[in-house]
Amino acid sequence: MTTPMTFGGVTLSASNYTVNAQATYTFSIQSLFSHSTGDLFLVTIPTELILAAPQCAVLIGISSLSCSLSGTSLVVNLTGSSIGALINFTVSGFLNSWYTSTSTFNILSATSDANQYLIESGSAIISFVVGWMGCSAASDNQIVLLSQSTVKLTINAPFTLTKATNNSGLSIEITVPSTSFTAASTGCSTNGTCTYKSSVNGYEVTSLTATSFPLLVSFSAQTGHFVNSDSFTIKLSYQNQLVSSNIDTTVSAYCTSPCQQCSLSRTTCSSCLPSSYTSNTTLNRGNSSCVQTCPDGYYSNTSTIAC
Amino acid sequence: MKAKSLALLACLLVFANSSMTLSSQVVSPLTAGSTNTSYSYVFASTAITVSAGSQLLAQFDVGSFTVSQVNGCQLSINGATVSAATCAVNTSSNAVVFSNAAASSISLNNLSVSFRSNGASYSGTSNILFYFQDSTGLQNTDSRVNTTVSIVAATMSGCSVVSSNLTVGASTTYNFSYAPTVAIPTGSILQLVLPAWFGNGTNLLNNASANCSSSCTALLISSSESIIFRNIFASAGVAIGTSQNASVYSIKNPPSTAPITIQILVQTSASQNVQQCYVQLAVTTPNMLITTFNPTNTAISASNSIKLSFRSSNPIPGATSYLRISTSLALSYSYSAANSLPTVAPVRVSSTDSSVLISGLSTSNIASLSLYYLGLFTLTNAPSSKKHTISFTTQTYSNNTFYSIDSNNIVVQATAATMTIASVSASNPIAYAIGQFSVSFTIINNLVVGSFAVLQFPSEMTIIDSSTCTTSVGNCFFSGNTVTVNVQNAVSAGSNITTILSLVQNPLTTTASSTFSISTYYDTSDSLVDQLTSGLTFTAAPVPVKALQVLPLSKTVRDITSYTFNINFTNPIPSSAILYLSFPSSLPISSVLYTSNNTLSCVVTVNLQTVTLTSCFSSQTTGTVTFTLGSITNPTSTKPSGNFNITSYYNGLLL
Repeated sequence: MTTPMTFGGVTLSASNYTVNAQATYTFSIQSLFSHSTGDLFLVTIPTELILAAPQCAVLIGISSLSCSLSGTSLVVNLTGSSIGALINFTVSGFLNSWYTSTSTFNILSATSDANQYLIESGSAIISFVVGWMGCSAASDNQIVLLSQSTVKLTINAPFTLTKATNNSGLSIEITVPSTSFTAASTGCSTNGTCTYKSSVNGYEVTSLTATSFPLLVSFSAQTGHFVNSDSFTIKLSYQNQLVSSNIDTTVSAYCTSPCQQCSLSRTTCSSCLPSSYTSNTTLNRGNSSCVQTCPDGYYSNTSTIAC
Repeated sequence: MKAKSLALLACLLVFANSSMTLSSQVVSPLTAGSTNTSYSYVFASTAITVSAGSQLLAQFDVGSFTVSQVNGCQLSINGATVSAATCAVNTSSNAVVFSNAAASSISLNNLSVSFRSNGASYSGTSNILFYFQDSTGLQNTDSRVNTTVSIVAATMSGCSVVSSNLTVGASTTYNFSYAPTVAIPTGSILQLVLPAWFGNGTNLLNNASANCSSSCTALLISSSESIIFRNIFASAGVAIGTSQNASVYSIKNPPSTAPITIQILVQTSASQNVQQCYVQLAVTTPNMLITTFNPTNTAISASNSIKLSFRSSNPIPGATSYLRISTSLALSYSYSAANSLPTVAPVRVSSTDSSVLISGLSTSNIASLSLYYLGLFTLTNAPSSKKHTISFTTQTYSNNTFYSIDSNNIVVQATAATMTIASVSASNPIAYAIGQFSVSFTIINNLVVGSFAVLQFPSEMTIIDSSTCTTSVGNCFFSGNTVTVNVQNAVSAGSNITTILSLVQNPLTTTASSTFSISTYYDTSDSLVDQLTSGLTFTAAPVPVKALQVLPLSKTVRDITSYTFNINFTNPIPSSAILYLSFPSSLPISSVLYTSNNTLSCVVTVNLQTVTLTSCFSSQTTGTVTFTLGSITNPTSTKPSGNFNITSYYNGLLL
């Protein structure tokens, strides 16, 4: 025979689905025929997962079993008796994939022969969720509401990315919140290659390595009006597979409204927000504040909207 | 003076005592029954005067002589023939009478007379009285001379005796023949005189009978071991030379092969011997000697210590008792006193041949049928199972000759050993293959130069004509399936002999062949030494089919599917062959189904793991056949199933 029969069912669950997280997996294997003592379950560990020093524990279906690693396979030896058709057991020691793959575990049952002749086959998948990735945005006087601003993001690696063996595989997609910014197609700079990506109103940074982090990304964007911008969406991918993301990074306006621009301090206005956002639209050059009307002694220069 | 007177007186007395004395006589023949006997007598006479006209009479005894004729008479007186003398028979006086013996008175000094006349009728001493009588019939008493003749019985011719049985001591019939040399007168008696049979008082003539005519009477006289036939010549006499026969029945043969002498005697009616002859009878065949001489160890070349016992049919004279044992086997004798053994040791004495000759069996006669023990003998068995005869003969010794009494031959035969270590091997064990074939066996008993072995191959195998034969002990050749191995170097017991034939065709099937048989012979074809007649077989390996292809429709574990079998047979499959398809244990089958693409139409049965397909072939089939069996559950894992095995049988034999 060349083809093992199919398991009645195989399911797999994890105590933690987050990428790169330590987890204990629970296997539930339904056979159509009872196994014999000594039969094996051969579980092929997806390459993106790491299993070290596995520890197995019976849940149901057999009195005992043992686990060992053989290459990339987990070998589960059905050492016990009273073997039922449904066997559930846990395996600890997994390190989840470091990216959000849908990993497939191929599971075979085999005889106790040295050649491990196959009886059944099946598979189970497990999907990992992205992890959190730290990111901070600079809030300085280069953030000018309603004006071209320079946005500076500092992105931290979620974990050591030395698993990224393919240097060209790492990429970061920065989606600029369009409610707050309109990213400029040029002017993005970082320790890598930053490319404008209009579809996300943002950028894609490639040519990254583990040592590229923390990664400072600076780009120009037409800034809208906000106190705190909407959140950026920053996704770290490896070969198009998500690794981690950040969706809670925002940029705060530097100048305190009604200042549009300011210097020395957030309240030392050098220009004022337009009337849509404030009634104090005129810069009082005298005290670098925005006023509705020029104080006495000043007149309103409508061309400069200043007193 | 006185002396001279006495001499003269004596002289006168002499003259006064006239007499006639016999000077010589010649009578011939002196046998009884002669009818023409010559009588010649010379007498001396003293002071006898024969008067003129005297007669000379020769008067024969009445009884023994019956003078009936005379001739050839001659008479001389004082040296002068009396030519005038005539002679005649005077039957009344039973005398021959010479008349005219003296023409004138004459002083008789000497007298010669001869004539031919009847002889005596029987043997014994008889008298013939001679005397003169004068013309008045007065006897001259001074002339009386009584002469005596001793007559012996005549010897008959053509005498013989034949026993109808030539076995010592056997009851038999003696047939006698004889021919008289003198006529047998009517009323004569025939008597047969035999020697004592064994010692004295034996009952030789008990139960015997004689053949006689109706008027004959046979008298069996045990005391004298003689038989008298009276009235055998009652009706007529027998002329000279006429052969006669007589038989005696139920009479014993002699007690050994030593000849005996029997007298055949014809007597007058008064039992006076007339003529006779002696015949010898010698039997040649010893009688039965019942022996017990059983080797207990029949192994080849084994040594046996045996006590001999026997019962002899005839008595053995103790003084000259011998037992002669003849055999080509090694046999030695040593006396060892024991119960029932003779107290005086019989000894082995030298013999002129290679026989074992035991002398002094007993100090006294050994009665017939008595049990006799003699020991001990050491017999070394033959180096093969060839039959050997041991001959036991009781003998007696006389006249420097051994004569046999009883004998017995026993046949002893050592038992051929059964070989247990033997093997056969083929360079190519495949059924019906032709290749080198080796036969090895370990002999149990020695073989010598000139010995040989015969290897009989089973009929299921064939030694190819062009094969060559080699062997470790000499040379070999074959004829048909029989291989003969000639031993050219002596081979010791326990040695191995290997014979190789270059071209032997294996059996057609894988059924174990019938057994090889191996026999070793010491020298001749009846000298079997070792043999192996069972258990040495050769089983050929099956002929593999060229290809057996098993094609499951599904190769998924535990699937219930169909299997197609393509079988490419090496050899033609005869019609009515049966196929046995054995499934590996990993494919338990309880029932199988044909599917529609069969090229064979078979009857299928299932027994355990074997599917039997019968009635598949309507004619001889070659090449590849295909059939499909369904409802077969695949194995429980991808573990190789194990081998399918297809076998074909024809008439119960594996092809």
